[in-house]
Amino acid sequence: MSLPARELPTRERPVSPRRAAPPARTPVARPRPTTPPQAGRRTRRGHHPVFWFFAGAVLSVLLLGLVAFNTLLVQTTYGVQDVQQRVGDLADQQVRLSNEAATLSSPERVAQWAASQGMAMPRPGDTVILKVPGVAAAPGGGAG
Amino acid sequence: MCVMFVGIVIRLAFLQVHDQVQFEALGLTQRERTVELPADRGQILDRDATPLAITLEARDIYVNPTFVTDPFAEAQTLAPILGLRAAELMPALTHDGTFAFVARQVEEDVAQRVEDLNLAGIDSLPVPKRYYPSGELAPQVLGFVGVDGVGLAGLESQFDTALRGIPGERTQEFSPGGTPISTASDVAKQQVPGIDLVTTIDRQMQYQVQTALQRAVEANGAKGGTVVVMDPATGDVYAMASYPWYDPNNFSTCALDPEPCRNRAVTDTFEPGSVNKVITAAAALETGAVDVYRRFHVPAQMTVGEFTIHDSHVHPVETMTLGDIITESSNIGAAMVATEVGNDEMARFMSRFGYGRQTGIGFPGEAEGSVPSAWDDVIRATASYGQGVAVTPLQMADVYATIANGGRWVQPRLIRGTRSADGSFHAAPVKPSHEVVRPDTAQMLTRMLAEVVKDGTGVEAQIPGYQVAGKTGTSRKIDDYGSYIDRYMASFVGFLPAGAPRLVIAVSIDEPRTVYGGVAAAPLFSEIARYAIQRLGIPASAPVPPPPSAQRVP
Repeated sequence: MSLPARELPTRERPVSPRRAAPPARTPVARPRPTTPPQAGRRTRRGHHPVFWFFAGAVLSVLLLGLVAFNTLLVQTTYGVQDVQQRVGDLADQQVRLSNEAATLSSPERVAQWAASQGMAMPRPGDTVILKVPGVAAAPGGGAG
Repeated sequence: MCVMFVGIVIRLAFLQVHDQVQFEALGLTQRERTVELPADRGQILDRDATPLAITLEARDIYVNPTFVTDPFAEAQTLAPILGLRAAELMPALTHDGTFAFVARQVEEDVAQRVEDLNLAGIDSLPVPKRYYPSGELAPQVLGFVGVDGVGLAGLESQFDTALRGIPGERTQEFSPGGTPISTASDVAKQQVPGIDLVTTIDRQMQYQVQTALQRAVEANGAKGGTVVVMDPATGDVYAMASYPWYDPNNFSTCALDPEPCRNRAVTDTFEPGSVNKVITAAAALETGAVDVYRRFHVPAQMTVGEFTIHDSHVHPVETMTLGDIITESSNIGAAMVATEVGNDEMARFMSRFGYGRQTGIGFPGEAEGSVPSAWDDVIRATASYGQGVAVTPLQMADVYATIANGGRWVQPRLIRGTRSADGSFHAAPVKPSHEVVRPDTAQMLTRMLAEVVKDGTGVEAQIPGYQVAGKTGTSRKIDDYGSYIDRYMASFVGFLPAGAPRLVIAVSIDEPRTVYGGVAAAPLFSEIARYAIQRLGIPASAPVPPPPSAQRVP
């Protein structure tokens, strides 16, 4: 014995709105639109000129920004280079000045200059070492 | 038209897709450069941080001879600016190649004058150059650096690695104009600058020592001389001079005559002569072999084995204590004392005082000196008064520093520490000291040495108001074959004030007209000591008593 074949319910395929077939034209007159078409609304034939204006403006700003950013970067690079150069130069100058100071204060130069001014190193008998007797502090001594 | 278009597209596809890696790498090599970041060589400073050696920028002048059309004319133009003869420049200008140095490490203003000439093929490169701002000051201690930036002598060589630092490296991308591309890759390995060495050298004292040494050598008609000035408590070497010297700013003279370029205070040895008697006395006192009151009957000469040794002057048999032997510098007396001490103890005490090995001061080419490897009666007798052994002037100063320091050996040193890039000072590690002789032995030796200066052979070293302790020495030199010749080394080593030593000075004069150390070297000791007293503000100390003498022994 067999069961009678069941009839499966047919499922309606969802129809995407885009693919939905346009309603059948009927000779019935379409209702007249109650509101005028809004500005900027996408039309079948293309975008509104204002859209293009804004899009162009945004792109120009982005482009300008990019160029400005790059210019700023390059300027900063030059600035960094300049500062690095100055740091190097100043470090060199510092070493040169240290060298100059050491050269000018070298004992030989100072001695020559002193000799040219009539000064001389004391000879053995010229220096007298004096013995100054120290005063011993009183035991437990203190003010008062 | 269509075929051409397709061809272009195919070619583009090949270039952009197939050969992409190759061309990308090629582009990178064109705009990417790796440059070495040279590390600044550290300075060498004196103990007050005044630069003794410094690195400045100089320039190498080079030529690409292929661009030179008239070498002779260019040589004539360049020669006066570079201070050379035109003939000296011709080999470089006519060199068969694309690069040759014309002059190395010239001053920047000289290089600028050369560049201003706009001579074909001539250009310059920046290079570092070592300068020694004080000129001929301690040149053998400092050493020098070659044109390639490597330390070749002295401290420059010893501490070359630390002074040189570590060069860095930077890889950057550059625009065709040579400007770094800031958004591109920039990999840098930072360079580490060399450390600054802070030496123990006192620049002012070094100059006075050199001036006095040169004067003394010239006054004595000597061949040369050496002085070491050090602090016995710390081992700091205030001054180290060897005459003749050289100008380290013009170190090429060392290739022609290396003699003035050696730091003879450290690298050369000499037979110390009577200054060595202090070790004989130390061994006698420390081992108890000789009592300070013991009397020796000392003749003017004595036969040892097949040799006859004698004192410096003829005298009848004299009664002397150990103190008298040191004061009068009797060779025979020293030999008699050494006989009591014995071979083993003599050898042991020479070793304890540092003979036969480096002091460890940290200087390239330091000599060890020599002590007899096998002892007999003759060697013992001659070694007792400083012949047959060889030491450096620094070793001799070290012996007296040990006595001045109460019998404790302190590591002599030339480096106080280092200074890092941020200016902070890092003291060098101090090597532990050790006792060589007991304090009472050192004290008795000091009394004997003070008597030498007060009433013995070293009276020329006296300084009014200060008690000086020291010993004269006169030793015969040996020739290249090891035979004694009639040339002498006169020396004086001492310290002051005897009661609280602050300074050890070792002076040796090579082949003076007046051979005796007491005459040739002691006055130089005195002159240096007088200056050092003022320079370091050394106060006089309570005098030490004289040692027992045969005249005073009951």
